[in-house]
Amino acid sequence: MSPVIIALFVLLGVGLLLALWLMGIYNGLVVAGNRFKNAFAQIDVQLKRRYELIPNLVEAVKGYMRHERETLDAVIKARNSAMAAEQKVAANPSDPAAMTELNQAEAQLGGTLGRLFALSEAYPDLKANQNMLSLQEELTATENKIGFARQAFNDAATNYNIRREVFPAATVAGMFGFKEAPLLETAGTERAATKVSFQ
Amino acid sequence: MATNFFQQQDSARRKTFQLVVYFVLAILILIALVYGLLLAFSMYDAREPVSWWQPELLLLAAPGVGLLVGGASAFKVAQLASGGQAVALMMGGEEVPGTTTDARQKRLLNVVEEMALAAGVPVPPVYVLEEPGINAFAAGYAPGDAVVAVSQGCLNYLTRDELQGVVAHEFSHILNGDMRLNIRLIGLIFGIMALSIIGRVLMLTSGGRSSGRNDARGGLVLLGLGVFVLGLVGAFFGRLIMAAVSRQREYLADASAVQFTRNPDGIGGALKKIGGLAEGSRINNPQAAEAGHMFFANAFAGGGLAGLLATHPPLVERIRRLDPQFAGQFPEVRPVGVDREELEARRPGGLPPFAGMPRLPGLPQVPVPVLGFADEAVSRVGHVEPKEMTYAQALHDGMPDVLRVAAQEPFSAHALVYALLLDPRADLRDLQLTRLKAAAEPQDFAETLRLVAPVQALPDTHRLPLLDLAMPALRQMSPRQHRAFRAQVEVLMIADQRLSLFEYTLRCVLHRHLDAQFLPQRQTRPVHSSPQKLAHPMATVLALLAWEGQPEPEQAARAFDTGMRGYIGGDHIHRLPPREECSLAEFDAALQTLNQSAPAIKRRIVIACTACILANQQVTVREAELLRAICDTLDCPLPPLVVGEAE
Repeated sequence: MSPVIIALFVLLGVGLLLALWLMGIYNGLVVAGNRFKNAFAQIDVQLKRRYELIPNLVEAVKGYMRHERETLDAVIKARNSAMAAEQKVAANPSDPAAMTELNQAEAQLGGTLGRLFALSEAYPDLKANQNMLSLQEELTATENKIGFARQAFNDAATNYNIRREVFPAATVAGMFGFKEAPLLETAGTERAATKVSFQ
Repeated sequence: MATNFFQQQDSARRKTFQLVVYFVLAILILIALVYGLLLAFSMYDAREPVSWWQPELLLLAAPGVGLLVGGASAFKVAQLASGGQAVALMMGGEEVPGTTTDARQKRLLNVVEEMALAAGVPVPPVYVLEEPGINAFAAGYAPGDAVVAVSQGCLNYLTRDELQGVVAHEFSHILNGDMRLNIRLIGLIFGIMALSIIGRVLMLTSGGRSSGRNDARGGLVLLGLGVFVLGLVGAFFGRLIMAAVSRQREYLADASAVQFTRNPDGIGGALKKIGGLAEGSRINNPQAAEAGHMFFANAFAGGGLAGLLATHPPLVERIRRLDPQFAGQFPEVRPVGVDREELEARRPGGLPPFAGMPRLPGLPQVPVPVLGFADEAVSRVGHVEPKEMTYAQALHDGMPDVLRVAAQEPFSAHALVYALLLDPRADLRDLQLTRLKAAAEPQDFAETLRLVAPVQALPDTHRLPLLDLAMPALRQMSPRQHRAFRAQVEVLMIADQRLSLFEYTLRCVLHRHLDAQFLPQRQTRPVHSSPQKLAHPMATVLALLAWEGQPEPEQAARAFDTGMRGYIGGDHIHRLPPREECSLAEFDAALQTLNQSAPAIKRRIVIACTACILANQQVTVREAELLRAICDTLDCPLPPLVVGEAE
């Protein structure tokens, strides 16, 4: 048997091992990727809950804040666009464009909600309204849950991103199109909501 | 049923031996084939007959195959190191959040939660696979890190009873303690099958190349053919190993499912629907190739060798064992709806009548009659009786809404654990809260405060089940969040200067079932196989158990003696030490020693503890909590002692 053939076989064996190694890295990326996508499901439920609460809140304050029509409309509008963006992200949490949209929409919603709460300070009747209080309470609770779940999501996404950038995996990630996971930013809303409810 | 958890574990060990034989055989045949392939090559190369014995070719073939199979297995095993969740994620499973609003998913969660409470294990995370067929699997290294995964087809087509049958089948796999073997097998099977996967790639590339010298092409085709044959052999052995592990156990799991639910129509109906559905039980995800032995029903489409290599017994045969009248007519399958009312109606809001134990710290616990005797109880470890199912359903429904909702979701669930750790005495509780306020995030602290009142009002019987319910949500924390959580738990435990029994048990449960996911665990190998050598730590464990169960010295001595006799199997020289000499710290050290024993000894340990508890025909909550700590540390499910049930 000629040395050439032996060399060929050795090369083949090395090639096979290499293929297995790459396969291992590939699977590792798949698992890490599925992990962060799964982590979004937890936020998903809470965000939806919050989008359900906001119209109720607007309904509750409407009677008192007759002169703030504009603010109330802005809240509903921001809520609707955040909801639309959220649906896109839920369909594919690894889509950076959708995530950017959600981040922006959430910031918008946080801003308008903050304004609503700030304005509500001027209405003592409203501040004593039981319905308003319980809605605010529930909104705060939901924000807290979102905050915790978002931290878990961002941790999982960061873990995936780090895995993806380390040397051998980076090549595999490039070859098979493992894209960088987008992070979910802190929206201003929970800070605003928390401030109000902890007074 | 004659078999029990411990026998199953022993038989799993024996099975491992059989598998090693298969595995070695597979490797030997692979080496022989590679050798033959190399020989054919050198004949082709030399264009004349050569001697069939060429040691240098063997030197090439043996390490080559060994390296390949070993390397591939090692990769896969390393990937699966994080247990059941990794398997579920690899198959593309999506975890069902506890807060889900989807009625079908909610129903699935309820079914799994009830089953887990009945079996005395933490609620496993539940995954849904995007597969149209009806199939399911359970995976993990131990009952504590198991996951249950169910296909979308199960949710779409199965009624609640059928779903319960499937989940019970999967739980019997979890409780039988052979999942560790299952998950390791994935690695080995992948090692053998890797050749078939690579062979397919090689065939494709070599077939495509038409240019070049004639004999080079011939060589490549020969090579491709060789690797293809190798792949076939590998796949054959892979399937053979899966079939060997899986087939017999499926009947057992079916039978257990009937026993758990006392309803042969549930699992029978599910199997019939598999037969009636066009997609059957097929799993399309290619990652399932090396995990076919873990599924509820055959994950692969039938082929020529399907009968011999099927991972599961024929469907009709399985159904006949459950329903002898079955004539082979499969029903037409239609999607089922979920009654909203079904989900809501089973929520009485109050507590089950028999769990009305007053939570009065410092007073002796209300004693209650027990169901059976030690031996009988232990022979049922790893089995769920309808009585426990009923009890678990009552526990599940009787959990106050505010707490059940809190247990569904990570943020509230981790605060819930803080609240569970607070001492009933106001002064100690205030001290703990001060420490927590200093150490934790303000919103965590606020959430804990919100949960203090309902947790303090909770009967003792419900505390551990509540923790079990919260487990899937706690597992959704990120490693960073888990570190912070662990630190807070330590702060709360240390704050009151003494470790209470419940704190100790809670720590055992958290350590066994949560840390396992986040921190790499050292595998404990059995180092003790003689019960006599472990008599001393056993006495330490029994002493505390005896004192916790009965305040009177004579009764305690009798309980201790019953336990020791149960362990040694006759007379013994040990005496019950005085109450002051029994501490949780010593108990814990003794338990760690006992944990390093073989399954047969663990069985004796559990028998001895159960006998000690049952010596006075009563089980108190404190005894049950200690037993839970013992069983969790020994990694076996709790014997079915229903606390608080009076008949």
